[in-house]
Amino acid sequence: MSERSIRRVTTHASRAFFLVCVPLAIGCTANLWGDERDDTPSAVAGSTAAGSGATGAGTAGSAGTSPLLHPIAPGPATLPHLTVKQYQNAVRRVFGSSVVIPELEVDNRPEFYAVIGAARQPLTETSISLFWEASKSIAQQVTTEPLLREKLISCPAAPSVDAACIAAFLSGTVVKLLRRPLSEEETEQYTELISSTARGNLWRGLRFGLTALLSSPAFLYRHERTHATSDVPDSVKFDDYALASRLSFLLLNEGPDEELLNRAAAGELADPSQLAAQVGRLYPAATTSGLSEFFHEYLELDAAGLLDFEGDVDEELGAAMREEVILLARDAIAPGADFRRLFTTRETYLNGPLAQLYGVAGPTGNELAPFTLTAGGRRAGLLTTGAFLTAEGAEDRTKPTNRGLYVQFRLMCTQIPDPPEDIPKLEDTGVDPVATSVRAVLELHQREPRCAACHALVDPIGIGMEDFDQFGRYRTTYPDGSLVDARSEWNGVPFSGAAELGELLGNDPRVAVCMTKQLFRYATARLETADGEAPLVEALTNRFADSGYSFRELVGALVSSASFRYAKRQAP
Amino acid sequence: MTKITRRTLLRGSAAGATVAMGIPLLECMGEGRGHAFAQSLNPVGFGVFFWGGGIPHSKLNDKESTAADAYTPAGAAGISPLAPSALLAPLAASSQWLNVVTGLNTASHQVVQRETHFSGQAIALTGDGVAYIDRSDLLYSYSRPSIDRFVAKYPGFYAQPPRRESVHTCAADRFFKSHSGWNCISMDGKDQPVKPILDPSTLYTNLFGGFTPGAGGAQVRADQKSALDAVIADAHRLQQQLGAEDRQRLERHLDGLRSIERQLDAAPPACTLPTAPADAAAGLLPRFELQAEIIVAALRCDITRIFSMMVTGGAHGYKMDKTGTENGPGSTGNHGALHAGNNDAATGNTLLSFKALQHLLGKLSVEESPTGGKLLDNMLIFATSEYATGWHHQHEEFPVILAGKAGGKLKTGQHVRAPGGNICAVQLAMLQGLGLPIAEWGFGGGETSTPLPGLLA
Repeated sequence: MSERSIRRVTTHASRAFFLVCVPLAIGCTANLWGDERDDTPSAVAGSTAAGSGATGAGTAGSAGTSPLLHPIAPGPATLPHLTVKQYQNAVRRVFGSSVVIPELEVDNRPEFYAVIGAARQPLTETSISLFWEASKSIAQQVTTEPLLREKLISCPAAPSVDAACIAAFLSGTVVKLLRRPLSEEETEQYTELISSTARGNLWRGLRFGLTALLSSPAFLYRHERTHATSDVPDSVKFDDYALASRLSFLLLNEGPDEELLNRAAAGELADPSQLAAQVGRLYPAATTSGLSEFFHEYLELDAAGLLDFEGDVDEELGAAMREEVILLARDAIAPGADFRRLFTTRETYLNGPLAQLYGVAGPTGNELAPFTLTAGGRRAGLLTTGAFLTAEGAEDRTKPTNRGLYVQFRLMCTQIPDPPEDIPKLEDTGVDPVATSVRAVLELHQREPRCAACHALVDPIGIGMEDFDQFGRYRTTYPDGSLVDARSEWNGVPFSGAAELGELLGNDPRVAVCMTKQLFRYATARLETADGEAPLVEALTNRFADSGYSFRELVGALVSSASFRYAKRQAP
Repeated sequence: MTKITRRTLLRGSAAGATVAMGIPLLECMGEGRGHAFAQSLNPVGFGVFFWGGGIPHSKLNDKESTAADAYTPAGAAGISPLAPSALLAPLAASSQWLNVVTGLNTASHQVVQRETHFSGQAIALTGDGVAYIDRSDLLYSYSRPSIDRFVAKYPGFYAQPPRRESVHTCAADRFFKSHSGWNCISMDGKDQPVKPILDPSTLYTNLFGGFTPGAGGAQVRADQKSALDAVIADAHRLQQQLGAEDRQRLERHLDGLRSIERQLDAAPPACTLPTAPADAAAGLLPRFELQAEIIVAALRCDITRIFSMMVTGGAHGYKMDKTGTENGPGSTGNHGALHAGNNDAATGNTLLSFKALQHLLGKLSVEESPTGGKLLDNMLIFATSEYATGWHHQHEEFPVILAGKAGGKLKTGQHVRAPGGNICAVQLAMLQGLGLPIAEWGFGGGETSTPLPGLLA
């Protein structure tokens, strides 16, 4: 590594802040694993020892008094607004995919997820005005274009202003939009609006009615109604329409379909077995829609192919990389699949450019096709995908620390404490920063006690993946000809290379705990509460393990849990 | 362009219909312009211009640099007449409107954990450090409102909110992180980002689309109003069903709906409306120029008085050559190049950003202000970046350029050199220049009650 590179490494103060020596104040390590300590193998009753790979025999998976059904206290209900994708999905589902949807304010993703941002961050004046403009545009389109009109109403009398037709619109199309029937007051209001703005032409009235409905907080916010219950102390119970909505947004990232609405209308969804049946019905579609979106956000696939912020953007290759991971995830969450294959599988999907990047004689052309990587080869699972390997690199080098951070933050849910304020440059610590390899630079962290504790958590992970460069290519030498040494340790177990690390991660029960937490957060649009819901996460993880890491079972267990069906009672 | 008198404004549309003006004009006002406006009506507008990547490194701003300083204008500490430097050359035509403030840093603030991108941006735009850095996803938030939103919300700045309280744009459509605080510069407070509009066509529709409803305009407007009434009724209904925190969120939502209501209530402004942009322009500068056309029209037509415009976000990877041409020969991804100490990349980034700024200032200096004079007579533009230089991401010699006379409250045509100066002292001068009765400003170590000397007239 050149002197200039070293200086860059040692002075980069943002993305590579952990490449800078990160001194630890006394006590930094005390909470290093945060609440993860409670979820380490011992807390996952009967589960596997780290790295053993055997399926655990959970003890808390049964119903009855299990926290699955009755956690001590479910967390609060949230009020997320629709994310941009949910808005787009809703409009396209109800009106058809040819509707042109104008620009909306981009979502932020605190805690990785747009739904959490949507529940935490208020809509701004700009955002609300963009929704209004989008409503006007969409309403205009669907009430003027013949093919789109068909999806609105089926009244033979249109465009005459017919009360029955308006009523059918409000109890049909509008229920799909609002995810529940209108109240009497709402029905009256919208009947009046449509009638009064029709001016003799029903399509015109529908245009203004839809303009309002698509801008209405009743549509834009997922207000999930609750009612009193004595089932769970200090809690309220989501009503059937709320459950339909929660289930549908989790699985499909859009509002409930007709079947779900019908079940809700019949009052059937309060019954957990009915809810479970709906999971079964929707799960196949979920693997390519809502759960696909979950993995897109969870694994930060936006960054695939971008080489961080510094390098060339190859949009097509990046798209192929994203698609590969989405397909790997789809296979890992298929009913009956062991989710851990995500980290270990050699059954992947490539197109021509991706096969070329991977150096395999695989599919040609631009469409991704199934491809089996060589058994025993260096490439297997998520950590060897182009999407992962390019997301955390720079133009001219890998960023091992950042790869390690990705694993700790996203796959392990580790809370690493913030570095203290007075971080010295390596030069200022008396350490000679002139080094000749990435490994040597990272080893400097270990020689500086104030840096070592945090870097010990992340650097070894990154070092162990040095067999892949920043473009996702396998390598045995660095550009200067020196040999790559990807030997490292995970939990005291030696490994060499990203594929072997994937094997260890897949078998690490903490990864399953983290996976459970992430799904919980995506499903509820909030973090799990520290007190009431920690046992639930534990129980869900056990159920996950008991099922042979069936993601389908995890989803089912989560949906049947009290945190999905109940919420903390709020003070009025 | 036809001069707009207050009488014309009061009359509203050419048809002479009585209109509810977005900005009330009080009876006590004379026919005079600008300064004759009543105290409750602030005639001054405010804009923030932001670019990612700072300025090139030099011996002046980086102890490890041996490069000559091409940015700082001539002049000792204190006030000098402005003679634009080589890097400021794109702004030369606007010299008379400028204050180039040099020597500033953020030393009085605690820069959180050496995170120098967002800390610099936060201090420059809020006077305070970041609220938090979520390192798992590099998500950030300011601790308090950005200065543009602070002014927009300041009681009495607007006697009544105009049609749009503020408008926010960005020419870049790629960000270091597309889904975190890196995609905006304006916030209403912690975790309340106010994201920019990216597409010039969307911006146009958002500000001007409602004024050209086409055939049956009056009826359409009335029916849109009815639709909006239904939305507002829905919002109130929902609000009643919520807990205190969510009720507050709905109150914010209602504010946004009221803003739309004001637009619907107002007649088309008595000004020449801009034309809708054709196809979306490709490239940073063309997109910025289209956005600037629309923003300037919004100011000219008094649709808003506050805006923020980003050319690029912090740590952006756009490529530009050393002349400031995007994707020109020898272009390199900016942020990576800055880290490598590549001053050609830093120079190109600065030049491109200043070309954009000049495009904006050029328009503001010739367009008539609805309150008299040119827009720059009555405006104050605050241009800044995320740090001083990208090589070491340091904050010494933090770049700040002010433009406009703020209704005569600011002196211009100056180089104000304040070695070690507190950026909050500039912000205080700006706020006082905008007429806000603020005696103290700055947070998290940057507190001051002394506006930077030499700026206020």
